[in-house]
Parts: sequence; C-alpha cells; structure tokens
Amino acid sequence: MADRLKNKVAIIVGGATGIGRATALRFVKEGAMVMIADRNVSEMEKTLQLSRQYGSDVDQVVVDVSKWNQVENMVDVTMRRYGRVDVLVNLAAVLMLTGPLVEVEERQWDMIMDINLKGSFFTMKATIPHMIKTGGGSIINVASSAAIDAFTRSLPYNVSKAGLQHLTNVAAGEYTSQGIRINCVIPGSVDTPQARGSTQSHESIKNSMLRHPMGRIGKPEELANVILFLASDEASYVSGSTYIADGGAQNSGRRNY
Amino acid sequence: MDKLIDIVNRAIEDYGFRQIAQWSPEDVVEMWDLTNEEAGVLTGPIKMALDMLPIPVEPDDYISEKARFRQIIDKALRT
Repeated sequence: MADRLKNKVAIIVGGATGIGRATALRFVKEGAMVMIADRNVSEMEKTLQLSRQYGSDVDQVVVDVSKWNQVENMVDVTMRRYGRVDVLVNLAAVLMLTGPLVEVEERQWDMIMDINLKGSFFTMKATIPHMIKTGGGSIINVASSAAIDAFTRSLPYNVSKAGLQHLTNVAAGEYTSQGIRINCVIPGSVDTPQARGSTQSHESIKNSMLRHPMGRIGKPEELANVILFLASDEASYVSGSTYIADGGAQNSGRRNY
Repeated sequence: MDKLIDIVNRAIEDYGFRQIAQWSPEDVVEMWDLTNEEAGVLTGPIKMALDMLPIPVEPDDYISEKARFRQIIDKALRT
C-alpha cells in the first residue's frame, strides 16, 4: 500500500535516528511532505539523504524542543515551506539513567522533563493553532513502556513518559472536537541508538532479546507502522487512545529489561 | 577541570547524558556553571571525542575512556 499520507504535511520531531528515522522514511514513501526536526545535525542529514531516495518533498530543521523559540522556528519553517501542518509526531526524548528518588539531581530531573515532556507540550502548543486553521490534523506522541511500568533505572524518565501519555489524553479531550486526533504510542524495547546506549552493554541487549517473548526486540520500522496508521485517515475514529507496541512483553511480565 | 571531568565521566557511562552534552551543550554549561574556557573545551575537543564514542561504551572500557578524556581535557586547558 502506498500514498496513505498523500498531500499531508508531517513534522517528525526527533526524526534523526531510530524510530524517528524509520517514520520519516515510511512517511515519505507514503506520499507525505516531511519536515524532519532534530538537534542531532549529522544524523538528521543522513535521514534526509535516505528519505530523498523516496521523494523530494522532505526537508530538515534544527530544533532543541526544550527551547520555545526554536520550536516556534521549527513550525514557522514548516509553514513557509509547505503552508500547512497535518501531522505532528513527537519522538524527541532522552533517557538518562539515575539513582533512586533521593539520589536524583534537580538538573537530571530538569533535563529529562524539559526534553521529554515540556518539549512535546511546546511542539503541540506551536502546531495546534495551524491545524485548527486548516480543519484538523493528527498528533502522535511516542511515550515508552516506562510510562506504565516501574522501570527502575530512571525515575524522571518514567514520570516524563507517563506525563506525555496523560498530556495526550487531556489534549485529545480539548481538541478532538476541532478535528485534531491526538494519540499515544507506547513502544517496548526497540533497537535504536537510545535503547542500545541506555542498555549499557551488548551483553545486556542480548539478554533482553533472550527474555523477550518473541526472542527479539522491536525494529524501528515496526513502530513506524503503528505511527503511520495513527497519522493516516485509516485512524479517523481514533483519538485519545494509547497503543502499546511491545511484542507482547507486557502480558508476559517480561517488560522490565 | 573537575567539572569537565564530571561531565565526561557521566557522558561515557550514560548515553542519554552524552546526547545532551553533544547537542545541548549550552544547557550543560549553564547547569555546571562552566567558565568560558571550560565551555570552549566542552564544545570543541570534548564534543569531537564524544562524537566518536561507540554506542554504548562497554563497562569494561569505562576506565580507559575516562583516562583518555582526562588527557583531552588536560591538553585543551594547557593550550
């Protein structure tokens, strides 16, 4: 199937690597005009070049989502380039490891919250007015299984992702009536640079795969498929929902890896 | 010097923090209250070395990587 996003303009925030890169490539293949947004300039350039193998309507903008002026610029650049925004995908996140609650430094808390939660608040705040003007849109916030599990390696990360899920619910309550569908995706362990980095060793990653009910962790492209569905008109009756894509880890009790 | 060593030690062990040091160094400069000279070392030679680190740095390599980064910092602050 192709052209599921034909004539739609999408901003993919955190589009340089991992699930973001896979989503950018998939969206371009499906006919979308895509603005890749990230702070990782070198990897974003690679994603841009890969995407242009499948379509020319793709561009990039540097953004640190924790800075309101940069988020405003990201949306302004997209509006000047394409004239509208139909889809916003929020993937920018950082997983910093911390000790238990009393050992968490204020600056660790702030850095994680600023990117993972405030960043998505900012991108939604900047984008929604444009979506309202053009009759609606679709926002997909990508959280984490840490949002619903007591994953014990980074309390601020858990809380930020739980906050993102609830931000989705509340915003959907506020804006679905104006044609904006807002949904949340909760990935389990997926093979991304972030996952490999935070797992901290190749041995740990192998063990994660062995413990998983599918005997492997997810591929970024598998998450891109879920995001694509929610972005497309096929999900026209879906808003305020959370989709878990963890290969069955939740129900096997093996999610904490 | 001590602040830069703290920053690189965290960045070696924690990929999440490494990304912030690489891509939002102004936040690190502010939070660690770095001097202009230290900020220049962070955004110059340290950033270049962080870009070359594997993902992840294996725990067995923490000590050698930390020593290597200490040399980078020493050299940068001397020049």
